[in-house]
Amino acid sequence: MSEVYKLIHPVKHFNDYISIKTRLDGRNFDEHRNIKLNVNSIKTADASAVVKCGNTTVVCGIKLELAVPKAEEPDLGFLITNVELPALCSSKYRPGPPSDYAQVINNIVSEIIKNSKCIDLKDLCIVPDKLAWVVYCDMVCIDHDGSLVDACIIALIASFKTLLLPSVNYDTETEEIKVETNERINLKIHGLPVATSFAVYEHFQSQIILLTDPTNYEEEMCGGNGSNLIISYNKGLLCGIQKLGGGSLSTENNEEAIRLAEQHTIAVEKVINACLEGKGTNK
Amino acid sequence: MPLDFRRFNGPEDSVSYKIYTKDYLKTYDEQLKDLYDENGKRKDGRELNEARSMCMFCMFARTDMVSQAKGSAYVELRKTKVVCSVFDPREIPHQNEFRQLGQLYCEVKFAPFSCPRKRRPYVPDVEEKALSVALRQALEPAVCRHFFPNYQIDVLIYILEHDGSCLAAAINAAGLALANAAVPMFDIITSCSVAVIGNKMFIDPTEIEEHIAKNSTEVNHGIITMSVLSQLKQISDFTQIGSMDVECVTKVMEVLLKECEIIVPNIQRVLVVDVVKNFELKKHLEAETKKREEILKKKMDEWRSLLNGQ
Repeated sequence: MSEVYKLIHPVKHFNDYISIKTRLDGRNFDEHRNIKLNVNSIKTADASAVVKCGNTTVVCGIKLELAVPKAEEPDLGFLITNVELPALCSSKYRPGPPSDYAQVINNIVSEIIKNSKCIDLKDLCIVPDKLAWVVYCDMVCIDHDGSLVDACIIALIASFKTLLLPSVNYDTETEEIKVETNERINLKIHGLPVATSFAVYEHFQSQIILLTDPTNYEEEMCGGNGSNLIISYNKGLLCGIQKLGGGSLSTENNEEAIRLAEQHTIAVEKVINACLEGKGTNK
Repeated sequence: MPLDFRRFNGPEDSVSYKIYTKDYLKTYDEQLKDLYDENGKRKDGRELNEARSMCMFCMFARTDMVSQAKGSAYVELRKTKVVCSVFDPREIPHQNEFRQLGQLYCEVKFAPFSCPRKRRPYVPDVEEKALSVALRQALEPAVCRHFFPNYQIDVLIYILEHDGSCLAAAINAAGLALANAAVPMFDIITSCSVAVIGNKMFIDPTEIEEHIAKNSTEVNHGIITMSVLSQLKQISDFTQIGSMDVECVTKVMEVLLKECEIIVPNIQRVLVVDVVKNFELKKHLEAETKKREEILKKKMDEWRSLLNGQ
């Protein structure tokens, strides 16, 4: 019955829920879904992490390669992040080249990582002008149920934290490269960027409601392509705010969103640390 | 390589660090010797004729993996991890004639980090296309395609980690996902593969075994994948790569038939769990509907009495 109502009068159905200050899945407006995290489950990748935020599932795998640094930046390595939205993650996408939305998400994630400066590219350089690491990070969305950027960033950071770089011996005279896989060092990570997504809902044209960690259905109801507002924090510093469509935001709303994002950062940090220590993986 | 403007690209000449390690320089004979020890046990502790599906914990399968899809399944053979999702039938795009039989659109995609040797490219390569076609051919006889003329069903496979027999795992996953999506089918489809190196048969091979079987110099070498409709006793797909004599092929076929039979109860168990879950959900929904209808009816009576009162 409720399903029929939802299909025939989607907006009214959604408004009814908002009026009684709850969401379709029973959460409060500012409540996050449970985060489940598992690291190093894929052995073919050099580091990997699987994240589930509610139904949204993202798998991140890192592959290491070696290359000659760019001539204009001889002491920097490479960090290539890509988000894949294969057709199987949602009925919205068709097989083929990445959709516009996938490219937008890809860019947002890359910008957040770049702006937060959590990886110093100088650490990835082995011998200036001769040899540097290329870190290919591929985030694959297996199940797209909203708040994709949040999940991507968590997966990426968790796999960075487990990444071990093999030691490389480079002979400058013979240009011979030797890699010792048994001796590995941790990659240095500065800070811990966390993104928080919101959907901005205009309730009866007057009231603006922020829905934290929206599901796919909520994102669609709020009119945007994906989440409307993405706030990314890195250890108390903002490293990017994106506003993509949806209702207009007042200053108070904005401040509230930033406060919520800050709280979320602490929660995510706890999850990642708990997972890495192997204590448990649930929030 | 053509530049891909839709993604971030790394430097063109980057190579995996693995080619500079000691293991990379191993010769073929050394690699072959590494495959099994003196007792005939394989690297992961299995016998030569032991599939990964034999023990309970090695093969893991479940349905309802992807919430956005109509039906989905996840199959894990030790390290090989495969996700499959099936979507609602949709009209076949760009076609100008009526199709009596529904079409299956299959796509197999490897994750960029799925293979131990090289990074996979983003654009579909030849191997992926070949697997997609093999998958479609295997599934077509199993699905009642005459029920949805002029429509196509998307069967999408994503391989998260490739550690051998990924086609077999993909077919098993696709069968489960199709059943989960309530697509009418003739029978449960199961699949298994064997790698042949010389006189040795590796059932359910790992990636390294497959690699050696492909590049072997022996007379009999190769990989055979077969999928079977077990109740109908039909072979829906048979793929052989490499070269071997007829005697060897027939021997392998017998073994594969037996292995496919063994997987059936595992698949059935997953499906039963799925059906029970859906049944309970339906019961719950019906109860809820009844409750709501009663409330509505009461409201209706109230209004009716109000109207009559006037």
